[in-house]
Parts: sequence; C-alpha cells; structure tokens
Amino acid sequence: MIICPNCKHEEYDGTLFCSECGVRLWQDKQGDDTANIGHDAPNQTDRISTANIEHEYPAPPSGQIFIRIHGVGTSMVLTGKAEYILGRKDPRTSSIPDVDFGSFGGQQMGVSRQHARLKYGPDGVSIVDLSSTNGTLVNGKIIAPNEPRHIRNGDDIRLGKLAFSVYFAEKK
Amino acid sequence: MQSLPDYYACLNVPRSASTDEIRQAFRKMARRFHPDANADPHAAEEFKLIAAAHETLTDSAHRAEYDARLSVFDVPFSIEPVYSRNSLRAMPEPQVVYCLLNIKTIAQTRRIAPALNLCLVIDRSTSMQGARLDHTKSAARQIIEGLDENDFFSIVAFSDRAEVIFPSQSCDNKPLIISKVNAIQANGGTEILEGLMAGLLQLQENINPKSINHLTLLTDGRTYGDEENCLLLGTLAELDGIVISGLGIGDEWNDVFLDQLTATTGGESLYVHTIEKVEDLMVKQVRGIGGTIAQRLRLQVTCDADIKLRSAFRIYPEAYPIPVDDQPLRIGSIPRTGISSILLEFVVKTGSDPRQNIARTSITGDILNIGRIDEKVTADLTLPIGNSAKAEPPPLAILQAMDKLTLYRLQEKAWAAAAEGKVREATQHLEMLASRLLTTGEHDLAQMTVEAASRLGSTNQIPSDAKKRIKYGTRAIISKI
Repeated sequence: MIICPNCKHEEYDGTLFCSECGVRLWQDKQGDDTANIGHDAPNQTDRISTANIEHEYPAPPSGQIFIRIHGVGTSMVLTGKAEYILGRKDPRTSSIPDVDFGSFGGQQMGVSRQHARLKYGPDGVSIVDLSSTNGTLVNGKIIAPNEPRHIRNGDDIRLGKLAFSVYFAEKK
Repeated sequence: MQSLPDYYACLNVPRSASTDEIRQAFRKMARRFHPDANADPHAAEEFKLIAAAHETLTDSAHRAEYDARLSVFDVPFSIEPVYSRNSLRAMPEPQVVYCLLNIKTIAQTRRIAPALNLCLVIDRSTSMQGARLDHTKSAARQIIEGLDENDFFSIVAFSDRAEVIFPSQSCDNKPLIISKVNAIQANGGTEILEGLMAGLLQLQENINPKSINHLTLLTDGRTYGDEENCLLLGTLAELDGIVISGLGIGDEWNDVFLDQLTATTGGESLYVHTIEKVEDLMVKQVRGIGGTIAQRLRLQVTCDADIKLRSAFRIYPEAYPIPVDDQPLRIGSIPRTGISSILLEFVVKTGSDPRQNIARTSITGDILNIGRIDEKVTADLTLPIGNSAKAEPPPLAILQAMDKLTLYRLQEKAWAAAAEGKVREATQHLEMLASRLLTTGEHDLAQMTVEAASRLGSTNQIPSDAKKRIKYGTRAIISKI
C-alpha cells in the first residue's frame, strides 16, 4: 500500500496519482528531498523526471500568484490581494494567515505562525521574512529578516523545511 | 466473413517455430488459460483457440495447408503496449500496473477511400427555436456541401415524432437536400427514441460493412422513459456496424445517457457550450468520420489468474471512459492519423514465476482502407518480477495520460459526491481540481471550476452548465496530449 502524502488516502503499490486528491504518488530516483531546493538541475536522460514535469509551467495570468508545494504536488492560487501572510493556522492563538501551511506538516517543518509576507506590486513580487523562528530561504540562500527581497517567476522558497515554488507573471 | 485466426500469435511463437517449440508453447498457454486454472469468463474461449492452434500446427500436413493460406495474409494493424513500470514487485498485496495500448494501422500502398453512409438526426423540439436551430441548419448545410457525390446521406428531424427530411440516397442533388434542411421548423418535445429509430432505418437502406455507417445525434433536451430502449437500439446498431455519435447543446441534455448510448457503439459524445461553435464541431466531426481508417474496434482483455482489469479509458483520438464490465470493450475507430490509444489499469497479484503474465489482449475490427472486415490481432501483456530498487520512472506517455486522466476523475468524484449531498467533499474535490488545472495551464477551466465550487458551496445545487463544461473540458485536455 502507498499512503498519499497529501490526503492520507490508501492506494495500491504502483498507483501513479492519488484517486482522492489527484496528487502524484510516484517518486523519481532523486526523491523529494526538501533540502535539495535550488538544485533542480534538468535531467539529462530521456526519462521524465520531476524536474522536467514540474518546472515547465507557464506563468499564471497577471495578478495571480501560484504556489506549488514540493513533495506533495499540491498547488494553491493567490488572487485578489496585494499582500499575503504565509504561515500556519493556530487555533489557540487565533492566528490566521492568508496561506496556511498547517495541513502540509507546517508545524513539524518549522513554519512559524506568521512566517513571511508575499507582496505583489507593480514592480513585481517580493518576500519579507517576519522574524520567523527558522528563517526564510530563496533559492537555497537565507534572507535577512524584515528586509523585502525581490523574487522571480519559478523561484524556490523555503519556510523552515517546507519548500515550494512560486509562479507569477513578472509584470503586474 | 471471419478472417483466418493467427495461430502463431495465439501460441506466441515465431512462424518458423519447430513442432517441439509449438508443443512447449501450447503447454505454457494451456496453463494460463485452461478454465480450471483461470476464472476469467473468456478464458475458455482463448483455450479453445489455443487447442485448435496446437492441433493444426503440430500436424505437418495441416500446418503446410494453414501456412499456404496464411502467407497471403498480412497483419493490417498492430498492438504496441507501454507499461507504467518495467517490473512488478514480488509481494502478496495487490499492485497496480497501467498499460497504454497503442493500436497502429500498418501503412498500405493500396488504399481504398471507404464510402460514407451518414445520417444526421436533429432535435427540433421547441427549445431549439431560434439561434440553436439556425446554427444547426447551417452546420448541416456545410456538411452536405462537403460530401462526395457517391456518399449516402439522410437527415431526420425529431420532436415527439420523427420526420425523415431527406431519405438516404447519394448526394448528387445537393441544392434539393439543402432546401429541405432550410424548411425544418421547431415544434414539440424531445423523444430521442423516435429520432434514433428513424435514423437507423435510413442507414439500413444503404448499409454496407465496408462503408462508414454513422449516425450523428444532436439534441438539447432530455428524453424521458425511453432511455432503456435507446440503449437497446444502440446495441443492435453496433451489431450492424453502425457507429452513433452525439452532440449535446446547452444545459438540459442528459450527458450520462448520451455517453452510454454512444459507448454502446464505440462512438463519442461532445458538448456544444456555445451555439456559435456547433458548425465547427459538427463539420470537424464529420470530416473526422470520413477519414476513418479502421472502425468497430473491439478489445477483448482476458486476464490471467489473480488479475483484474480495473478501468479502461480511451486517450486518443477523442477521450472517453470505456465501461469494463461488458466485454469486448468498444474502443471506437482509428482516425486518419492511423493510431488509437487505450489506457488499461490492472490490479495484479504476483505469482511465483519470474515473469508475470497479465492478460491477453485481442482486437477485432474492420480495416476500411484495405477493405478487410473482422481482422484480429493479439498481444500478450507481461512483465518481469524484479527488484523495486531498480525501478525506472514511468514513461512520459503514461504519466501524461494518467496526469490528465486524474483531472477527469477528480471532477467525476466531485459530481458524484455532490449528487449524494456531500457538498463539502464535492467542493474540496473541485478546489483540488482547480489547482491542478492551473498547473496544466488551463486557466479558463480552472477559473470556471473555482466558480463552480463556490456556487455549489453557497447554493447546494450542482451548477449543470459548469458541470458539463468541466466534464467535457477535462476530457478534451486528455485528447490534446
């Protein structure tokens, strides 16, 4: 049996995509090591790999930010706001971020309740680390807290150990 | 006339095989398909064929006679399987393997352009009045203009009753047919059985097994109480070599029923979401039908012991689900491009042999461009049992097919949940689908899915227009691969 990392649905060995939530269940040889972000070198062989499949997305329509979480293959669309708080919902402190990574193992992976802020302005998208416990990385490099940092379409972001890619049209 | 069975393919031996090799192969095949060893309902049939092959090929006089007949007989098409994995794991639990069957016709120097025997069956109920009927008539006119003079054509309009607008005959007087089409008026309810019956009778007038016999049904409404009889007519039409395809206009028509009806004959159903598109869709569809190379393909999947065929889906040309409980599977036609692809999903329990036989697949069909009826090709599906650590990633063709098919399945799940009143589950499935659609670059469909989810969440009602668009939209993505 395989257990879907996204929705915990059980599938037979050999199943390629979860029948319940549609997330991919096959692993290529490199696996999905979250520590590897920023090193998604294109695969040289003819065989398909995660790198080929996941990194050839066209940018979403202008104004939308599209997030694809590594490892689980889940994606989210952010639209309608200029700023989004990324973090983890905590019922005890009634902290509700715009993007809640709690259901993707955010706590175990070290995502703070209010971890970072994503801003979509006329001159592009930037990210600010909100003095989080475990820091924010862009393409594998840690960024200084409370200093906005420009990001590009397709960049890899890590909040603690939780990694995702961000896609958007470069000009709003 | 049934063509000569390929005994060598049955035993999976080369044509040069020695008598000993044939005996050995027979014993191996008998172990797979003997009814005592294999519970598949078609195993007995396979076994009979294998026994006949053994009997003929082990007797030198009979074999020489058989070979003489076989030598004028070449294989007109082939089955090329691609598997989702290069080996199975030795384990007691069931495992899944996907197999993409690519069916290819072999290029022929001698080509026959098969004649077309086409009947358009058009809904003229009151709801068709105005733009719907106008565009439909315009589509019919364009189709008629495009026909060859030797093609047979007929057109039926139906409401509560059917009327033969133009009876089946060759198209040497197109202005006459067009004037008849122009005179069609909208009036009455929708009884598909009436239209279907009249249309099939017209096709019977000029039916020929070496022609493309096709009925295109266009409707914007629901038929009540006669669905069962329609499906029965579909089954009978299939026996006569007639393919039924369907086009649904607007939100009212019953997509599940139209899918079932067309599936009985291996035809396809399409959704016309904006009436201005109906000309394009119909003309394109008829042009596709005219280019058919092979038709009435029937796929028999005889599973080995402890193996189950879980699902089947046609990936190319037009994508649609194929019901697996009724063998042989109707897998439709091979278009001008000369290829068709079917994705099969098996649940396998491995045995003790180092190589696991999965199933024997046989496809029977009419190869029109060489004028051959009921040709049969057989291929065995088999994988080694190996070390999972050495597993290769699945081939791109399978990943792409499964990736897109998963989208279609998600929306099926969503609507099934919604129909059971599980609104939360349904909206969750739709939201997951929306995010997957975005990764595929399908922004419009993603947007529509998001809206459908919020409408469903706030009203507890399935938005029927969005439902059809998402269903046929996700199907269309599969065919794009």
